[in-house]
Amino acid sequence: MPAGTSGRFRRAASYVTRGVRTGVSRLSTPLVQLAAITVRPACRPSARRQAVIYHLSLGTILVLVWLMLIAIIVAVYTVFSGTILPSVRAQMLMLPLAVGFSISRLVIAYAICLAIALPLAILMARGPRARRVGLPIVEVVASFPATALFPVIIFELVPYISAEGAAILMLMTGMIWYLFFNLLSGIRSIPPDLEEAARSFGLKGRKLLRRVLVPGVFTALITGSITAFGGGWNTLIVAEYLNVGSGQSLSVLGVGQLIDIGYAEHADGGYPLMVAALFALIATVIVINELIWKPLYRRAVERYRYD
Amino acid sequence: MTLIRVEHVDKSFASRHGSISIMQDISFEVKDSDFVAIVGPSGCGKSTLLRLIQGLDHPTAGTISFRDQKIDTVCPQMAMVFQSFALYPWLTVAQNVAFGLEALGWAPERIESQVERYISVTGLDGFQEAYPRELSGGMRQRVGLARALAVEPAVLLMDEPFSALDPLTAESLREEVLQLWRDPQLPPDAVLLVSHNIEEAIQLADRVVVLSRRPGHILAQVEVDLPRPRDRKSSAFYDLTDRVYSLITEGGSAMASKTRPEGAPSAG
Repeated sequence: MPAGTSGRFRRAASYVTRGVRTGVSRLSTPLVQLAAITVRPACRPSARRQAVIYHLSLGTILVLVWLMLIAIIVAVYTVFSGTILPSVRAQMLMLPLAVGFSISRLVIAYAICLAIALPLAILMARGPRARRVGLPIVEVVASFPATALFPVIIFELVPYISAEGAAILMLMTGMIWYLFFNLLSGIRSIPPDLEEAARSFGLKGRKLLRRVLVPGVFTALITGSITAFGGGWNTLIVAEYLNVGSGQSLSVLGVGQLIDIGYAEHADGGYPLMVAALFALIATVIVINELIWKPLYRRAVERYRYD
Repeated sequence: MTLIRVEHVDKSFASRHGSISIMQDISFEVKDSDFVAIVGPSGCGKSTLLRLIQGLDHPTAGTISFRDQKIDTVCPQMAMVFQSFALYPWLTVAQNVAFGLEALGWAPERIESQVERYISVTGLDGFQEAYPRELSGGMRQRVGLARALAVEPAVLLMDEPFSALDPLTAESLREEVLQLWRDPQLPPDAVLLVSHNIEEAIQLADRVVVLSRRPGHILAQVEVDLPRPRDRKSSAFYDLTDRVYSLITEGGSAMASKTRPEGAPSAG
């Protein structure tokens, strides 16, 4: 091989690698800068504004990526295995709405869980007697697999609390214990001096709760919320669609429901629905983690941790 | 004028082995412009005594009064400085200093000027917006001090306030506390210091209340009439220190062998 040819090859190859390298660095530099902004303590207003802009733009990007992903899945499926049935396509078009419904359901279930778990955790963390009596009960109840209760909920409770209520109740069983046990250990790890100092200035009751216990438990609340939502996403798949036979079934519009329907009808053209719904769920979880939990967790570690 | 009067105070806690006596028959007084130190071996109930005096806890027997008023709830005329600083990590320096004032229900405009004043008194100017995590131990205790002083207490209660600091920082903070106490324009009127450091107690206080091992009782009240500033190397200082040391070691061990109940955990 003449020397000139190999030199030309090498030069061409180096152009390519250089191009890739500059391309990567051009793309990553703003990302690194943006990451640096969020890592910096958000005490200065300008930094905080930049962090907000960063999260908003990240959010938009992630939502666009999410929509594109679904579009690509649908397109690929259409190209490789014929057309999508009109009924399935109609359900796929419901996906954004379904995701919205599922998120709302989770938020409602989470709020109710928090309203139950926080007072319960405070009661048990601070009263030795409540802890001695209550904790073994809670531990037994929490270790009982909640899915075993779901048919009972459907048979017995749906007539009273509607399918929507039953779905939220089932979600709660998948969320509440993560919150409760994190909050319990969080309250118990608040340094006693912090409370003593507040009491020495005459704080008690609700004020003490608001000024010391709630901020004191913030880190544990975030950790508990992240795991509770994790459990919640998981439970969605059973909570939104459950067929218990004999014509008894529960079905409410949601991303979990669409995954289940797609799976149940996968042989009859439901497959693309299942895959699209699954990806929608994955993308939604990632978006919410990036936009809500990660910044909150960072803030908790920066500001609310004890040394 | 007598500010704090402690009369025949007993304190015991319920435990699995029955009731454990923490202190017995404690009586002493803190007068206007007194600087009183309480010393004793660890576990003798010094810190508990301080909490009883502020009303954070109640004695099993005996009475504690402030300006002839029996203390049965937390007394707002006293403020506490903690060994661990006990600052709120989620609040800035200024917000930490404002904490007590907000708890006492001061108006926001008054809080702001009061906070500024005590931040500058304690040498924290420029650190208003910093978080406790970003400060050194000495600076953190200044915040603890500013928070306590901001409510303008008649009595400053200090629970081992210099124990978590390095010696140099502790020394300069001690001097500043003395200056604050002597300044008639500034609170507090009297200081009640709990310490296990006998030299520290003798350097700062007019009177040292010496407690025995658990159950704590008063072995002696030693008047310190050395002129200020006190020279830790002088023979008078050394003699006083020695006296308190022997009080604690002799009195403590004699008491311990006589009164410690069978099977109870040892003090300290």
